[in-house]
Amino acid sequence: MIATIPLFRWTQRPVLRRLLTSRTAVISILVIVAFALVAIFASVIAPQDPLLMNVSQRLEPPSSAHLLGTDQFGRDVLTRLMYGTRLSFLVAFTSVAFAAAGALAVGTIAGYYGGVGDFVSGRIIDVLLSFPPILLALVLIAAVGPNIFNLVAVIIVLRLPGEARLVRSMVLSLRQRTYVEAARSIGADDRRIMLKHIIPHTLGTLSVLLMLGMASAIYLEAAFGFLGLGAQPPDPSWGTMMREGLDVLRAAPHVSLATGAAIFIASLCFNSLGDVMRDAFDPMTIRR
Amino acid sequence: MKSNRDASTLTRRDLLQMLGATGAAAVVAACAPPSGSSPSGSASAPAGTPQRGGSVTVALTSNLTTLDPRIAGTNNALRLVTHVYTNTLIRLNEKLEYEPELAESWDRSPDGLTYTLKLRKGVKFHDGSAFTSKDVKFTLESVMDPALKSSFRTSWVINNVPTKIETPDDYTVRIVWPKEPDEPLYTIAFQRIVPKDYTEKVGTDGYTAKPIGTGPFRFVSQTSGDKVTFERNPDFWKSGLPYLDQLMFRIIPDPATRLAAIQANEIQVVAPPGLNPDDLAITAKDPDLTNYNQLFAGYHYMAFNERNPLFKDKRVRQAICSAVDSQEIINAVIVGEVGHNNVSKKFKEFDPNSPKYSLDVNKTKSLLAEAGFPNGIDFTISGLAALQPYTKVAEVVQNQLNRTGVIRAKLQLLDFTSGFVPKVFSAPFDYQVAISAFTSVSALAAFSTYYGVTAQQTTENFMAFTDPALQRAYDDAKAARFSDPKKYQDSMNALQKIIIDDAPAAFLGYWGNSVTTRKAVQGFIGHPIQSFEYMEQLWLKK
Amino acid sequence: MIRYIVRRLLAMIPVMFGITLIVFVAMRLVPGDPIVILFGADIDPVKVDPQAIRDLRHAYGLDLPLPLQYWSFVSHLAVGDFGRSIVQHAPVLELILQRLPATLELAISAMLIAVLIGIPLGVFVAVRKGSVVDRATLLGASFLFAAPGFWIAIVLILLFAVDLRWLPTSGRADFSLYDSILLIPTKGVSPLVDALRHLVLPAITLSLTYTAVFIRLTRSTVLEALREDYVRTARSKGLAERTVRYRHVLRNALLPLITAGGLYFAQLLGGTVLIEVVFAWPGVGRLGIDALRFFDYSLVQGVVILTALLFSFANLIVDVLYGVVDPRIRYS
Repeated sequence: MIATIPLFRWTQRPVLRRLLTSRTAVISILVIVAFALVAIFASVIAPQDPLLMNVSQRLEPPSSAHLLGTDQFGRDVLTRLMYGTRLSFLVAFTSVAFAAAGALAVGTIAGYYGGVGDFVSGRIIDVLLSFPPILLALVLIAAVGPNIFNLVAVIIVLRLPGEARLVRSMVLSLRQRTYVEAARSIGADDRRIMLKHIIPHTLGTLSVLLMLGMASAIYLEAAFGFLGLGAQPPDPSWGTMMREGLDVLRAAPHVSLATGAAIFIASLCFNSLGDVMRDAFDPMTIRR
Repeated sequence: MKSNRDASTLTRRDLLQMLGATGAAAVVAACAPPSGSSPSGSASAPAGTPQRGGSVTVALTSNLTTLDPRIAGTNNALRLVTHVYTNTLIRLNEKLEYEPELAESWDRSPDGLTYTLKLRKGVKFHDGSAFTSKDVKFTLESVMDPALKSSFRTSWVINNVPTKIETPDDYTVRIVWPKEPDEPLYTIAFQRIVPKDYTEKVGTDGYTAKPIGTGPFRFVSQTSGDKVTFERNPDFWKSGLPYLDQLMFRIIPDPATRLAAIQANEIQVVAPPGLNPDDLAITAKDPDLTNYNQLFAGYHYMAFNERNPLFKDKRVRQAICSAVDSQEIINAVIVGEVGHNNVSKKFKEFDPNSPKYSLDVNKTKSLLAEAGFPNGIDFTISGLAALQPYTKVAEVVQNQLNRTGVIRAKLQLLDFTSGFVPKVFSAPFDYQVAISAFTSVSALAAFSTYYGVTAQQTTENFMAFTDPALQRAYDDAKAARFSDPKKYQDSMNALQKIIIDDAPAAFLGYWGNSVTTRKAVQGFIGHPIQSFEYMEQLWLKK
Repeated sequence: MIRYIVRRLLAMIPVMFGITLIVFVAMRLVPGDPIVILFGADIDPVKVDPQAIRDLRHAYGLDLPLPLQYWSFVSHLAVGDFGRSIVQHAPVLELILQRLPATLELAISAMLIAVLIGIPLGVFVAVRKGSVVDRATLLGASFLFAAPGFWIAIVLILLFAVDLRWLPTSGRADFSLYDSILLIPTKGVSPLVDALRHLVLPAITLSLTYTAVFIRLTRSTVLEALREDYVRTARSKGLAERTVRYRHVLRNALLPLITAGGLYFAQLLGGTVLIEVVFAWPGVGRLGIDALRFFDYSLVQGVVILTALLFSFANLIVDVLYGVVDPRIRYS
């Protein structure tokens, strides 16, 4: 699928209007903001200590004392989910943001200047993109060790090449637009052109990728926590909670149901928001 | 995984117990060899009269990498399966006694250097050929041959490689050692015999593709990574056994899937390490299922690295011991028992009057203050990653220690082979505190780890702990073991007292696991040392 | 055209070197020594006879300097020798090929489900754009897309295999789908039924994301095709709506779908790992994960490289198809 090059910038009215009038987008944004608030203020609003063990009360179903029940060590699930939000969002946001920033840098320079740099980076991107993502991630995590910093790095490695290629193709076509030619003919320097004329037009697609990337990163963190290759105990993260919850699925389904639901909802919201944004930027749909 | 990692279902972690067994515990065996002829059946009789026929599928956690018992590591899944089609010369039964299997009797020379085994006659391999001494010689020698790359070779090397293995006639094998080994019977008991002619003809790869032995079941087929099928051996030398017509092993790495499978009667036995402990509550309520909770001859421990100045002071170690609550640990891991000792209750040498630590935070605080740490101490605990129940034990203990307010412990979970073994069990012993578990073959063997870096050495003292009093008591016990039972028990009691007081490690509780079967499956015999379980006596109640 | 293909093939060579290099380096970085593991890792390594370790290391060529090891590795690869698994004592290629049919079966089934449900549904809602059905389906597709596969898998197992007992919990049937069809004359339909029963849950779980993607993709390509000028022309010519729909729109919408399908299939091949683990499906993905746990260098290398190669070739084929369809791309 050839990506449609968005011609509209963020600040232009049609885009924002579409975003704010879409019910899906608004709900998604509200939910995401709620998650973010929980992540930031977890230590203030969480009902209990996420590390407090009370083994005699393990695996209790939801009750007034523990709104989402307790886990296998008697810890409060709701509290751990809240702290887990912090970790999941942090991991997701850091990796996606850095990947996008890196992709922007690499793609713009490669697309604008071309030449050897473009060729070399292109080949590296080809190599990285020829790995099935999960396998590549597994091999890399095994090599560098399972912890959240490495997980962030691995997610960046997974996302950056594809995004960089996309940015590059956008830059390539933008470079040929008339106003860019015009700017160059009056002697504007390259950096200014890139910053003022080219990059802003890529931001639309990048922001869509950011949203979709958040959903994907949250899933990846969960998948790796599930395989035991992400955050390590006793830190609460959605991935490890998923794993711990699945161990006790029959005895206490509430743990993984709650965690799975959190992952699901977050993922859903980011995906939906990303979809709405993609449509918002699509000049075809705006023309109507 | 690890019953966890699904993936987490880590595999050969089960060999953790071997850590104590082969390495350390290849020390002193419990028994004197019986002489005379052997009974033809195996140990305990099942409840009710065994019925012939039926097929049982057993779920294994980990992959079977090879079916050659000579090469197999101590992966428990592998051990369980190789028991089905091969036999060993001497069997270590569930009472921790050595009993005859392919060897009817054995005899130790007065100087301890020569063991002569008389082999059972009339035993046939699955291809019809007769079992004779040449097969024993072939098996043992090939294990010791570096070209075979067998991991059992190391246990021979540690216990001294025999100078020669003689076969004076078809039914006698003589093993001659240069120096009396510490654990000859145990080492012999581990080797499962393969046929010389067949194995030489088809080679190792050929053997793995179609294994043959003298065991109760014959190999039928295997699908790599999925299942292995065996059928009844009608010519098995224990007449009347086995009862089942077919035995199948299926690899199901995910514990939740194993539970679902046994409830749906797709499998009839969940082999050790069994189901998730939390699922045991479900299976206990299920009228179609039976749980067998097994206590092992082993214990969970928290070892202190005395190369670190922090732990040189006995008071610091005792303080930490007083911060541990064994009951809470067992509540969290479910399978196991509260314990404060390194000697399993299964051993008769266990002293119920030995001292013990109980949870006493005030004592922790005062001891630490006395030792010069009024503001508490900080250290990192090295535990095992994604391997249950060891990971849970580490998590709970870390939590307990931090609750005292005077200990600030961080947790570092390591993968067993790539992290734990290099850091904790090998020079330069880069750890502060380590939580894991040991099995012991005997009560005395449970102390070999703490003997210290001296001549007795069979295991590296990874704690750098030495205590002359303990060594004296150990030597006394070893000397009196077969000659003076009273002196022996007194020395064992002394050992148990010394080790609690010295606290080279905190003893967190006894460990075990569970096996779950369908109610129809009878005759299951649990074994206190994993990887010694047998299936030949299983039968299905129709 | 040929030139384009040749150019692309040549471009793949450095890519393949890159793949092998990354995998090789990664595996060497992994802490953990397969030789030690071979000795059962039940004994502290210091106790193992150092000579035995040295011998074994030499036998596997692990004592050579790294660049030489890499060179040996790559030169063997070039002739199709993927080496031997240290842990399973068998040639890597053989082990992978043994498990490949299982993964293919899963991937193809998942793809079929996604296509057979996704495309018709996509067409259905495209022509009813804006309706309740459309919006509900899109919402459903979002849900399918966002659901964590490994969680859905366990829930499905609980529901269909344990509570309802309609389907087996895990594993693969004794005969593959293909073989069981061949066996119908001799063994009747029961092997086929058994094969299908084992395949249902894992294939459905695997197909979820792609079904969602196909619904949305089909919907958007159909919508685009509907907007095109030729449709207006066809309509103005007075052709029946149906003819318009099927003959012109679908045909034009189909092409991007086929190429996308090729890409997704390639992705599927590499993405079966989690599902294989949960359902105990004996495929290549699980082989890779188990190998990773045992630090079985050669096996992991084999699995990842083979999958990466398949992936690249699938992408190549898709690109060539694009090139066939859209000449503009050929000359870029």
